[in-house]
Amino acid sequence: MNALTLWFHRLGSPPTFYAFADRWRPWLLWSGLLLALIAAVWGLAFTPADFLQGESYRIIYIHVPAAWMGQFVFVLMAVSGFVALVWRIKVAEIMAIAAAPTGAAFTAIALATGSLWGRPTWGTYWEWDARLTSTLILLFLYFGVIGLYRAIEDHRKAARAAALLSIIGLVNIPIIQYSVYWWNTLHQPSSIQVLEARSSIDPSMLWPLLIMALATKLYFGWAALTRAQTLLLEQESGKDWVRAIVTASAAKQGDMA
Amino acid sequence: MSAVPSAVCAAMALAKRDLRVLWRRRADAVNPLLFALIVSALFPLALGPEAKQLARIAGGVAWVTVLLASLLSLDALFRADLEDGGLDALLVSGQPLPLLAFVRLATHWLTTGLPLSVAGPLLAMMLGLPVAAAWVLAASLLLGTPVISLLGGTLAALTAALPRSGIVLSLLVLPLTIPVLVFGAGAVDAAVLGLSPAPGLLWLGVCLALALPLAPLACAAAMRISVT
Amino acid sequence: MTGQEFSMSHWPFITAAYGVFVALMLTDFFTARAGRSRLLRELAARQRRAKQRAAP
Repeated sequence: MNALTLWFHRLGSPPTFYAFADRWRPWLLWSGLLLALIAAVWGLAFTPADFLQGESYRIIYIHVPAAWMGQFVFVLMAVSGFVALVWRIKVAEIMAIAAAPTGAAFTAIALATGSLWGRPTWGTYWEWDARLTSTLILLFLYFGVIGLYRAIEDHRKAARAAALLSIIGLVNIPIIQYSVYWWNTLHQPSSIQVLEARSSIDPSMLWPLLIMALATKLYFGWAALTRAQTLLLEQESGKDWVRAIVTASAAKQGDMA
Repeated sequence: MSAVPSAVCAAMALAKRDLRVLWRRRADAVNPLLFALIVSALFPLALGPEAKQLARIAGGVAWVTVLLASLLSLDALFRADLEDGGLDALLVSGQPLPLLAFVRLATHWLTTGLPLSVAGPLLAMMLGLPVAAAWVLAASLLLGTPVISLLGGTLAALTAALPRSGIVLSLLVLPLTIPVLVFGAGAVDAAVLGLSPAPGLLWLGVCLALALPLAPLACAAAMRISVT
Repeated sequence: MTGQEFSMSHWPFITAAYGVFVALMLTDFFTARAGRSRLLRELAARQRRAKQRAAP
């Protein structure tokens, strides 16, 4: 077994995962915040205005990364859910649920910023076209997964039910992606082609976008690991390793009080 | 000579049992149709009887009505079996679970989706939908209601153990069936406007082609999860 | 695209969009952090009570 597989196996153990999360959380949060700040300032003040859209295109620097993350997190949820269903790994069950709230937040941001961008450019806050409708469905799916998990008492059963739902909902992701090619929609096709290296967006405008995309991923890492830690502590609360951590953190609180 | 019946025999047995149970409660089985009738009647009452306006929306109204009516009978699809141990029996029977799931979903469609597919166009014509468009509505319902049964039934299996599953089930089913609604109502709309309904109907076909093989697998997984 | 023909200023929309972004991100941030601290506090309280019961 090579080092990577071994690392993954070890990560499946709750105390190892908890320690891993502890180590990486601060780095993820601060680097994410820093990059987001850089990207936002760069995008707002240091890029040229668009020829056709004027200034409002600057919303792209939050709209597109948020939309990417909304879909990316859902895929992650479904993959983690699949691992949880097939191999019954507790940490995978927890990661799937821990990722959901942040993914929902990103999807909501994408919808809201898209709407605000649409008003000055398309003249309307909303259109029932394929991409907007399927992104709205994605938000409902997030609520559905979170709601289903919270409705079931037994944590492991709840996680497996939510995992199955997210796998079923996975069919929505290709619809969001390809809807702009399959139908005549108001939303434009992708300006950024990763696989074919043919982007129609000007390079000077591209960098803040990519930096913000990276920033959102780093922040998501922090948020998912934090919620995963909370879930782990809750579900393993009888175990010795949890007791040790709780005592240690209480002592730290006591020192600071 | 094995004592275990073949998969086909087991499937037929389950189908016969489901149909018999539904026949005994056939008054209940009529509920979705009555619901569809009443809901369709609400629209002219609320919007005024102006014929052209009603005719324009009749296809969409029929589709929404069928969708909501299907939800009514989805809720109870697995609950009785979960409570009296019938679901456990299915799981330990040794028969392929996806096949049994398919039978359950198919009998739901036969007793809910198919009648609604017949009633829907009639209700829409009462609202003023032109006859040519009503045929398109019938076709779209015949393609779309199986998808609703397949998808909705899977989610019903997933939520069967929940106390207030009806509401949770609706919140889960409705977003996932929005594409079916859009394609179906879109096809009828195209027919009313004189355009070709083929795109919408073909997309419904795609949904059905995806749901037919995949939903029984997902439903079987959902049944296993609900029983534990 | 008819951006140039609209006489409205774009900056209110840009501000609103960035505002929504910051607001939702902060909400996510605080709910994640608060959930974790609350749970740790609760578990600590539970442990203290258990210790008191064991050795009054």
